[in-house]
Amino acid sequence: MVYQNARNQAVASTDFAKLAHTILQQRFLRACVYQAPLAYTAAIVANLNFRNGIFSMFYALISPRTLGYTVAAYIAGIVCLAIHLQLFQVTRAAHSSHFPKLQRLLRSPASTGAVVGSFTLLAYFMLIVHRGMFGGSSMWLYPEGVYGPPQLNPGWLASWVFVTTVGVSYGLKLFMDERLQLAFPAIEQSRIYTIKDRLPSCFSTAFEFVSSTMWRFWLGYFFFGWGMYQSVCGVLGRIFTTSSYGVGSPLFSISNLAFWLHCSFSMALTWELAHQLFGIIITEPTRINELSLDRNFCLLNGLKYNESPLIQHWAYQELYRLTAFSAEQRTEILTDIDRKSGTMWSQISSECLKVVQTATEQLKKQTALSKPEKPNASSQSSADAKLPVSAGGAPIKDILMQNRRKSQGSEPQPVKKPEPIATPDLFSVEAQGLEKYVLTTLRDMLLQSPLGQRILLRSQRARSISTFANFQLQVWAIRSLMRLVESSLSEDKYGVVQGDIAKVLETLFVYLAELERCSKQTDSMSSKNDYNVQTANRQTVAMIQVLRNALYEFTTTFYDYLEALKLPPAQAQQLQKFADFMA
Amino acid sequence: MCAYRATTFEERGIYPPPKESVTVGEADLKFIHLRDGNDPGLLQYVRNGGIAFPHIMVPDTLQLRSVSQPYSDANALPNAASVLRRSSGDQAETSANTKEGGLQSTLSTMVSHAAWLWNAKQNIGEAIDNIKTQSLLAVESWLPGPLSQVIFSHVSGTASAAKADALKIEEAEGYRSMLAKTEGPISCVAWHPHRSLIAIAHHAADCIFIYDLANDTWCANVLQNAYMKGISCMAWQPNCGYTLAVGCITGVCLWNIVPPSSAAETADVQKAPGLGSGQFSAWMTMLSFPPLSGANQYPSQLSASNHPVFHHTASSVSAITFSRNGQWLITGHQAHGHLTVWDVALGTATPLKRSGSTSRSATLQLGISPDDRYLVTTHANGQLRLWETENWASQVWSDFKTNVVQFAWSPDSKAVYFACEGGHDIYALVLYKMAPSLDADVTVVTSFEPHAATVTDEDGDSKRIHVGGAIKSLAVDPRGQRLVVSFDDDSTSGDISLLAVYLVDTEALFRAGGDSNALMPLGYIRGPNWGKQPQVERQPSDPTHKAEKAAKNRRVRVGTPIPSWFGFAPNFESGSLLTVAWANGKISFIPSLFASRISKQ
Repeated sequence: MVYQNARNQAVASTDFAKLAHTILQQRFLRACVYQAPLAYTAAIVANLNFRNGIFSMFYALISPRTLGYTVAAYIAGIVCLAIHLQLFQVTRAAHSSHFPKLQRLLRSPASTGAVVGSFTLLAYFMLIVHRGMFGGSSMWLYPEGVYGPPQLNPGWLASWVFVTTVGVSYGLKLFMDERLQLAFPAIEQSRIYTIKDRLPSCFSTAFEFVSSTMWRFWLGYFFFGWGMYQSVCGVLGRIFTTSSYGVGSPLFSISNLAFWLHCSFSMALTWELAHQLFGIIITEPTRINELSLDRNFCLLNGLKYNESPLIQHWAYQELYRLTAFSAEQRTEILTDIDRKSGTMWSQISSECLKVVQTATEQLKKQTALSKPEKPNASSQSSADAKLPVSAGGAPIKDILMQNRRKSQGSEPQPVKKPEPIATPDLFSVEAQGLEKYVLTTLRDMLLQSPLGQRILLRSQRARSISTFANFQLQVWAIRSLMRLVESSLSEDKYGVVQGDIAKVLETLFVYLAELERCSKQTDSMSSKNDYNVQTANRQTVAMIQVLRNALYEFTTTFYDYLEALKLPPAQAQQLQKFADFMA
Repeated sequence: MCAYRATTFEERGIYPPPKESVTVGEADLKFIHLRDGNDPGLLQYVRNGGIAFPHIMVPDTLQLRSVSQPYSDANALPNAASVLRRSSGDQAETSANTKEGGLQSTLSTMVSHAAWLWNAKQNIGEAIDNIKTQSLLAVESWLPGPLSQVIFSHVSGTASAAKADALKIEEAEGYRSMLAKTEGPISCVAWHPHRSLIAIAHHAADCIFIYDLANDTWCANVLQNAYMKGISCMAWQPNCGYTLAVGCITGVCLWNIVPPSSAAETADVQKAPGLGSGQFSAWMTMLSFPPLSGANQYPSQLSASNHPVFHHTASSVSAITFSRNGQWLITGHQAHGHLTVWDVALGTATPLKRSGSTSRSATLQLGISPDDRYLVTTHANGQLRLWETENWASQVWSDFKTNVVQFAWSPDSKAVYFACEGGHDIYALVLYKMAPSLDADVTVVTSFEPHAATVTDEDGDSKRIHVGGAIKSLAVDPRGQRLVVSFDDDSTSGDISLLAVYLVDTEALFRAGGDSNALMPLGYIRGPNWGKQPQVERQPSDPTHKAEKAAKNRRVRVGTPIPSWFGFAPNFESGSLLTVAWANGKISFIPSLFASRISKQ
């Protein structure tokens, strides 16, 4: 409804990026609004007290303490949202080994420092609020009476050290675990349902983080805590008279442990809720093109806009959505032929193909084959005329197969065993100048030892999910493109798509061949079974599935017209495999 | 909810065929019932262009031999598929390589030990988990049954928890529906959306056979895996070659079947290249959401002697459906009412948590509309839920007295025909607006009341038999011309071996004035029951007496098999092809030839 209203007041601008920036601001404001109930949720969780019975729990819903904590959690959540807005990532550079993680932290020390510092300050702020509301160990002890010299409370000091650890750990975790990476949803759901579905994972993640941090802190403080306490007391003793009575360790105090757990869980939950909220709201599908009077051109501008990965992703997400669900706009794109720059279909398809072609080139570089194989089709003699694809082979409409015609698929050529990759890809982020020299020298030295390999080499999982930086964009581009091609069968009045089908198929087949070569290379390098290919090269296998799915869909949609397409021999031959269900 | 006045079979002068006959097909709006192979009607039917399909028989029990995996470490892999084949060609090859493999096995042992040490942390964690599970099981076995049931019913991985889960599911789905599912050797059948292949799940052996109807052959391979237990549903993925999804208690087993490269060359040019009768290779991917845990987790070493026993978990699947473009796989679960939407290519799962979280709201059936814009799910708490697939909003109808047992989409995606458990009415959920609108209404389209009908046999003798009962299942053909109904065995039921067929006119649902012709009675289908079966009678223990009595009482009775599953082939040029799996293991194909009639109209 909102978008419908917006469309009624559509703007003349076709600048997708400009509109997208406005949407981004709106979404941030919406996130700030949604943060309020989430902060209230965190406040209720913090104020739950099972000791006083169920009525006290009801009272916790409206108690001043809950409302006060809500305000504090809201402020903390807004700061979290602001940090995410500044530092979110769209393209992926996953790397699980320790050195690149460290490298990632040091690459932008200013932002790393700012984030870590912000979360540490937030942790202090939450600790102060927590202490104000729920109490906690006081700063000074008076072992010699209230008129005697004070002594620094070790529990107090440990609390501050602990929350510092929590803040620093959370800030580092955001960078090292790539938590600022946006994950776009597979399907569109109501925002409320999505938030509701994410709540359990917020609780579990917060608890896991707190328990692991607490365990590490406890161990660290066990060894170094006493020394630290003595040092601080020494400094304080030089300033004013302090007592030196023996005190117990805060690490073995149940009340201290409970306080730390309660306090850190509340703050981690607040941050986690804000983190999930940001991800949900920012990655929701947009309808920016509908805001413009010339929506097709606006969308095209978005597809071309490569200055901001987020905005480009939004544009492809919109294209994917409208090709799947909006028959009206799909038809509009296919019949939009009266433009100086070319038909809308040709411009959109060339943008999508560009994504695929770029990915193909990148993959070729990545595989670093010494002798690139020629595709099977090109090995055929050029004397072959344009071969029509036989559609009689597959019994889509004739289960009895009485009209079966001879298949034109030739004998598949044996797959040439590719050579292994010469040098493994170690650094996901490219280094320059002196940094590159130092890092490369260090890398070469370290790689000589097993320990160095352990530190530097990517884990199988990291490698499997980081083959492509823009994996999601490619999936949207391929699926949108093929949906437009398929819908052209009934919706393309002027036949603008028909002339480009061969080009589209050629691009997809080349990419498919490259992906298959890449997966076979992994196969030969690791082990000879499909399971390893799947796990070691997950993105490659997934992309192969996406392509196969799209090509099969094309085949089944155009089944009756395959012969009439008059494709070049290379594509005809490869498409024949799909027509025969032998791909 | 409104209702139309229904025309009954008797009013239209349609009577069931005699018990000694079998239905071979439909032509010119009439069903051809034959008494035996020499029936002159068969010749007449074939001369008129009728097609007689062979029956397929699936035995009750099976003895399968397994073949060694081609790679030594394949068994150790969590997702590795174990394809048990009938032929033993690979076994011979394996034994020939035994000597050569001696040194390799020593080396591989050393390597595996080194790998164990390298992953010591993980392995120790697994060992601790195992010890924990074993100790739990030990404590559970020491305690008295009722006490252990109370204590351990919520501890996952224990037998008590499994028992509690099973009880919950039985409560939710009801004993009758559970028994209905296990009737006969065939648990479910799935047609390939583009090829003439049918996958048949065997109930007792938890394996899948594939039959190539185009070449009239069984595929040599049988799909079986240690994790594929308790098969509940099955579907081929559209637009993805030969990919079969099998719903079972561990989740969804996604089989990727790679046709033999020689299939295209060796295939008869008059026939389509298919899987053929040769060996194909297949590998399986497990899709579980939430991921398996505890005792159901994948063991690090899977071997023939280490087949885990799986229990019902949150990821146990009760129903699956693919979107028509093959991109989405939607699964319903046995233990809760949530749905999981899988992007099959990317392997990502998105839960849809709308229905309840307990087994009382378990998903019974789900089906996506032919245009991929809507999804219908039915739940054990009596809900019928209509989803639109753009934003995944939904609307619920829950004012039914019993659960909605079966439904079928009309091919134009404008109506869903369904029936309720124990009821005699056929309803239609009519969608009045275009997607993604959820503006829909439920209408009673017709009712099949059990009644006595007159049957005339070949001698001209008439007798009355009781027909119908509570509606058990229904299916609509892909062209939206025929609706087939089967009946359940209850107090009102009569001859439940009959299938009633209606002529469908979905457009009538949208005409004003309460048109009663949305479903018009067309005829009955009777199963392949001419095989005379010796009557099984309890005899005294004396063997001589037993033989005498057996000779004396060698009377025969006509077997009346009950349909355990039926559905239509997705593509059939001449009309529609009904596939019926009977409880005795026989699968029959009954064509309805009406395409030429439609084209003339």
